Amino acid sequence: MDFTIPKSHQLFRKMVREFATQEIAPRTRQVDRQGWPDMELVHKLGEHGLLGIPFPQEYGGAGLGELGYCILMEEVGAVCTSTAAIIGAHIGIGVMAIYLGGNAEQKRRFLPDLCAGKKLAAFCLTEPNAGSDAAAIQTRAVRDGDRWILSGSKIYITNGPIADVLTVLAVTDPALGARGGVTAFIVEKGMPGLSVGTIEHKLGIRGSATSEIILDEVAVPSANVIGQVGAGFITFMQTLDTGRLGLGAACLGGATTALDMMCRYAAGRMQFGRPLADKQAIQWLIADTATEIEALRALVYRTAWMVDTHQPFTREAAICKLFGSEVASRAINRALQVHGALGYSCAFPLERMWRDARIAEIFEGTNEIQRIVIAEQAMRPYGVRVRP
Amino acid sequence: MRIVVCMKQVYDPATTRISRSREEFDLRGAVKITNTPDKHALEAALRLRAAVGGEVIALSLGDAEADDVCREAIAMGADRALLISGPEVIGVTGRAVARALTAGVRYLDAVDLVLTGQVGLTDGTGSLAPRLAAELGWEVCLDAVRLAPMTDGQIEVTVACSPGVGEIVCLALPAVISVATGSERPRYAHPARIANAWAPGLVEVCSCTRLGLDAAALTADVEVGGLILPPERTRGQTIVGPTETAADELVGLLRTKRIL
Repeated sequence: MDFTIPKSHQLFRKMVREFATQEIAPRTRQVDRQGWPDMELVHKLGEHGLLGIPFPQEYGGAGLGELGYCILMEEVGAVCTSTAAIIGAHIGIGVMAIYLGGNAEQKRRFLPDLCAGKKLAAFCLTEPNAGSDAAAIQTRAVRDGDRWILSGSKIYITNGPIADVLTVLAVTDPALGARGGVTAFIVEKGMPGLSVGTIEHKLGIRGSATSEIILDEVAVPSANVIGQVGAGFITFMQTLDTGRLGLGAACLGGATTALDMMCRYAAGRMQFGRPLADKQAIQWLIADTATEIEALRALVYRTAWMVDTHQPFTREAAICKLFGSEVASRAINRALQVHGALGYSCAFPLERMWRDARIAEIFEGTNEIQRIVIAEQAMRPYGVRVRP
Repeated sequence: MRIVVCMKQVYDPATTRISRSREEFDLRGAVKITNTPDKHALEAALRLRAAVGGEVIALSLGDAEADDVCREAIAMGADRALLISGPEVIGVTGRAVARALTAGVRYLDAVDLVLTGQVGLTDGTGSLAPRLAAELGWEVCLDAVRLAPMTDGQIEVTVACSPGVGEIVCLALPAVISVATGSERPRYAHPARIANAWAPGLVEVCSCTRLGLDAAALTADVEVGGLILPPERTRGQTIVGPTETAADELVGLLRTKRIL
């Protein structure tokens, strides 16, 4: 058993940390305040090769695998949850759906520009009547010669208003349902009938853009069908597995920052003539947080290793997302408590981190859905099929 | 143009401490990094290569761990690296370093320009460039902020004198130039280059013997006589009282200490 992170990935972590400190951190407060992404930063991410980290170099990626992607998400998540969400929606699910489900020609056509950040991706699954119950989607795709006509609407789409390439799930055969009746499509900005609907105002991750996506008889060529007709549900579910792992990694970053802030403040803040760190009530908050972070770190990087060594990881990814989001929320909540009124003040970053953390318990499958996935995997050897 | 950039591995000053009781650097928990001023030299070399073409070679001296410095240089854009390693170079200083690196430059052959960082983060003497020039018998220029190639075997070097004031000098190649930290900010290593930097054949490891250096050439010319420690920090002074009088007292104190 060897837990050593390869030298290349150690150097990559150094590079991302430097980039995150110098380029992302100075804008974190601003993007939260303005409620919109800093597009110059998004372009910079692409320019410096950070939008194609896990993908092979033949498609314009960095070839650093899932391990590289987790390092990226941890380091970005440590300074800006909004930026981590933009990257997660792009790499973790948007581009990933094309990479996992697409054919070689589609990967050659779309991945280089997406990896270079010349184009940004979004993943369109959720609908007004289909959230956790993803199989209940109503967006329709009807064949029309060598193209498909897509109609419907998608909501809460991260990167929706700023994306150039959208991976969209639609029903192609209502009789078959999720098993063979649902297909994934690549929809491109500029296709007639595609538009951005309502833009969401959110509790947190305000520096990322979330919107409704409206498909009004959008004609999509058959060449843009991801994989086979009818295979869309499987592709999207596989995509969500890697997305969840990356989200767990981003939560690890956020939690680590919270612990760092907590310790720093506890060391310097004097009350009753002694630093806060001398009080057992504070020590226990620190100890619990450090313990949970250590467990999360082991979980995230072991799961990344499982992905890179081609082992099944659906269960582990769900655990990473569930545990990661809860650890981050708890860590940030504790850090805020240690800081007292300062933590509650908008002059300090903790209130933003606290608002930002909440989304991780919801998106990429609510934590309730993660528990169903985990229970389903746990009960399988006992012949019990867990249903939502 | 064949450009050699001297790059060294140092302990990150942020992670080193001074042990007062033992009167030496406490390196427990210290982390090794690439000397950041050397990255400025590499950046200057990469810009020069982009302008005139050629090859950028990182040259380092140290133990096996100095391989990390070579890989980082390659990840940032260097074409390849030469690492002078072996027991005889461990802990060498001053003239010995310059002699070993000179042997490396000669081994690399047909080198037009050698760039160094302004100073080492740990020793901070900035003596490498002049020492190298002396050993090589080449022209030397210190603290360059900008390098521009010229046609007739010369290089135009901008040297910062004081903020906003520069001096332009022309130097005949081959030459040794130290690059100031006020020059262009070093680029981020590219992730794809990071992934490829550990490919075989990019870093050549060479012993001093292979470079034709014997132990006599590597004897020290300077000896560290001792360590002067900074004075221990004294407890600050607390000013109490109403804001107005406290402010007056503070200003008064700052005036007497000639800070204001």
